[in-house]
Amino acid sequence: MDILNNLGIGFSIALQPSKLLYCFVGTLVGTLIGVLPGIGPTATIAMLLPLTFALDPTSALIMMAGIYYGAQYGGSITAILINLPGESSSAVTALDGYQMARQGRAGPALATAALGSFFAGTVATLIVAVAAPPLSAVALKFGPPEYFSLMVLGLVASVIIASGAISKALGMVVLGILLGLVGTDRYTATPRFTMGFFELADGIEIISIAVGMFGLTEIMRNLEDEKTRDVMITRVTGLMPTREDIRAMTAPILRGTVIGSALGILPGGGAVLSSFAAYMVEKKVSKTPERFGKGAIEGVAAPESANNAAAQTSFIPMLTLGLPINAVSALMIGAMIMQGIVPGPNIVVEQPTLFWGVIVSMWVGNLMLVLLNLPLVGIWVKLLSVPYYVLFPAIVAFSTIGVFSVNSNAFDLYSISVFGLLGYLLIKLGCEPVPLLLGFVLGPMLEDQLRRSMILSRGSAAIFFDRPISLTFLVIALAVFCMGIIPSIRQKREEVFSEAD
Amino acid sequence: MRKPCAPIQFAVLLAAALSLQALPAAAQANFPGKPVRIIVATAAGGPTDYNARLVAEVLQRVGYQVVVDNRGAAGGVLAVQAVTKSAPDGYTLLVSHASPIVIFQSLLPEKPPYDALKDLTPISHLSNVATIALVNPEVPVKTLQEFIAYAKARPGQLNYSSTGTGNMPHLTGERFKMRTGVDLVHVPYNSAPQALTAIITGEAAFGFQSPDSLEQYKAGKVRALATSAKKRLSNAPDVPTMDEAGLPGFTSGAWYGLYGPANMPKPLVDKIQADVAKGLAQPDVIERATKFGFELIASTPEQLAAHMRSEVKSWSGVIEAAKIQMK
Repeated sequence: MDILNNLGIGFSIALQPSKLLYCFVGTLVGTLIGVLPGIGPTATIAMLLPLTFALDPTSALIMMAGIYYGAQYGGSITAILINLPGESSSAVTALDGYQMARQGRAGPALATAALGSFFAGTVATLIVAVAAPPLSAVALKFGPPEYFSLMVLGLVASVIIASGAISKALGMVVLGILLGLVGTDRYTATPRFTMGFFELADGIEIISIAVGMFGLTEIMRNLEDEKTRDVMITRVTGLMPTREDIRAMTAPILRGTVIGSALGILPGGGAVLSSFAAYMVEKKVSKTPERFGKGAIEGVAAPESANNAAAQTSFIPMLTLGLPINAVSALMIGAMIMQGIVPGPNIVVEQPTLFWGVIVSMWVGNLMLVLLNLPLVGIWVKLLSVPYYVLFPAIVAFSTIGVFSVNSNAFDLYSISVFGLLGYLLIKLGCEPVPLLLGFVLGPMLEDQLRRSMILSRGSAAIFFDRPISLTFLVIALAVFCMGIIPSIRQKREEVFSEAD
Repeated sequence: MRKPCAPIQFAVLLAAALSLQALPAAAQANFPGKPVRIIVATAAGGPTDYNARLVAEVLQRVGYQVVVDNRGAAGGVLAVQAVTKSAPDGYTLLVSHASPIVIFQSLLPEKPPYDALKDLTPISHLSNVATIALVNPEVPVKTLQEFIAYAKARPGQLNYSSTGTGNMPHLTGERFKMRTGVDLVHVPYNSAPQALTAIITGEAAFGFQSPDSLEQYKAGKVRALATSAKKRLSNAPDVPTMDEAGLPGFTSGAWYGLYGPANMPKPLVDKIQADVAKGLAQPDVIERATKFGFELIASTPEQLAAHMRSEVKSWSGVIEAAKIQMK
């Protein structure tokens, strides 16, 4: 009964007209910046933060949360339409979503993303409402060794996501990790691979890689061949998913929601891993894994559900402990402090209207997103019929504006150009950028947690095997590695033999 | 975006520049005739930003138009660099934490592309923020002295958490080790909440945190041993000051200042300093700032310059010593 009572408080807050308005503004702004390449939710919230000082704390948090999960959804729109993931978590969506768009099925892909996100958001919000305190205790069980092992598992699994040769995928992961090492070493304050640029002291901006290697690269690839470019414009079939599509996406959405909700609780890396993990699981359980990367609707449904579920549950440590672990929730805590609320473990008791109001508004916001976006699907799809000589310069212009507006730093523009060229080169060599992105995101965390674990254990690697959660991840990683590598070795040998014949 | 009358604008600018050269007093009489841009050396939302917003607010109260520009990249180095390259006309100011001003030149292998003591005009100290010494609640100590004794009996066995090598909680920790002679192992995390979580879970036995961590203390997740504030904090009156805990004068380097580019005319500096000092003395401003552990200090430019020099010296000593230990 308690929970109903609390949800009642939440609804009474979240359904106030002013709160509905801020929720709507948040999700709308989030969707727009998600669509606008080059600028992510963290940068947007940072820029809008001063505006929130004039609002009451609940409205401010509702709006910021709306921007965050709105951007998760908006990022997948560009991932599907123009192969430009707005967020690292929607990079996997681009794999099959963009292929669907090229086959004229952008409408069903977008609708799938919206429906999957809504379902996952609803479930995850319920989880937050019912089980946030016990789950936050689980989050605290994850120390550096557990994170290290989880990252190992994530990186091993990323190789499987790739549809091409395993050796190339491995190479891309390693290149991603190397790029992730650029910047100041946190443990000795030594600059690494910065080549004397202070702009690189904080590392390479992920946005440079996303915009450069996905957006610019895709444009260059499209420009080189007149024929393939026309294909995606002419054949647009059906805006909404067919009954068959819905049957195909149901199970992936359910699995994606579970995976996303679970990984989202883990602060630091969990949310990014979730969409990759969901995609990998779908590819593994599918009877036709060869369809993945060629426009499989499961490849859109699962990661989209997972990243939205994770976006919701990632608020758990912040809401229950007052410990913001990702950049967005850190900004939200900053806003609360400016408002005179110092969040801590007692926030649920001390600020029940704020706590429950924000949680319920997350669900309301998800509902708004789906209502906002389903009618928009047709408009987004029409974007594809914009002639390329208008669309491509517009993408480049908006990306540049977006990237520049974050730090007002011309250096960021040079770096998207460099990564655009690098991405094109890699595509020509048959290498996919997605494993590189995952390596780039997870690599630095992997190093961080490894070195922290080694400091904690005073140099003994046993720390990874003594702790049950960590050991479990390592065993799974080994199993995944064997599953992934053995078939490909066998295949290689068969190829060699058949060539010998 | 450029307006078509660029030559005229240029002429006005030129005239303004010339008049500033020739008649500084006249130019200052009109100051501020256009929006003042405050560049902040961190992203929005943290304590440095809080100080910048406070300055912006008190200046707006006396008729300034203020634009706050957060530039957190490279630990604030790029923000400071941007200010050093701006015109010293009072329209570009800097609010920064201590690191890019007095610490990086000793700490970083690649020196920042400016000399803060020469390339900036100090205007006013803004605030100090208290640091809180926290222990994991499982550690069987109730006071700072008990912790020091406990740690001395276990050299090299206890960890302390920080927000990263060279960041303030790390340097404060090293200063604490030098001062007390205990041997703690430094474990860097990526952010203050992560470093705090480590103290809660026990990965780190000890650590220095900002006053917002007192919420975790009130909830019983950590134990607060002492605060570096001069007086006990109003939201945690049972936590003793460092003086009371037996480490008199122990502070962290968490302080914030207001600067301009080098060679700002003295009357201009004095006007801005006076406006800021007056604003920071208003009771409602003090009350709000105190709530979060900020101790507002509006100093003269000379006092800030002296403080910068003494801080450079003090931290370079800590860094020298810590480097030897870090090997």
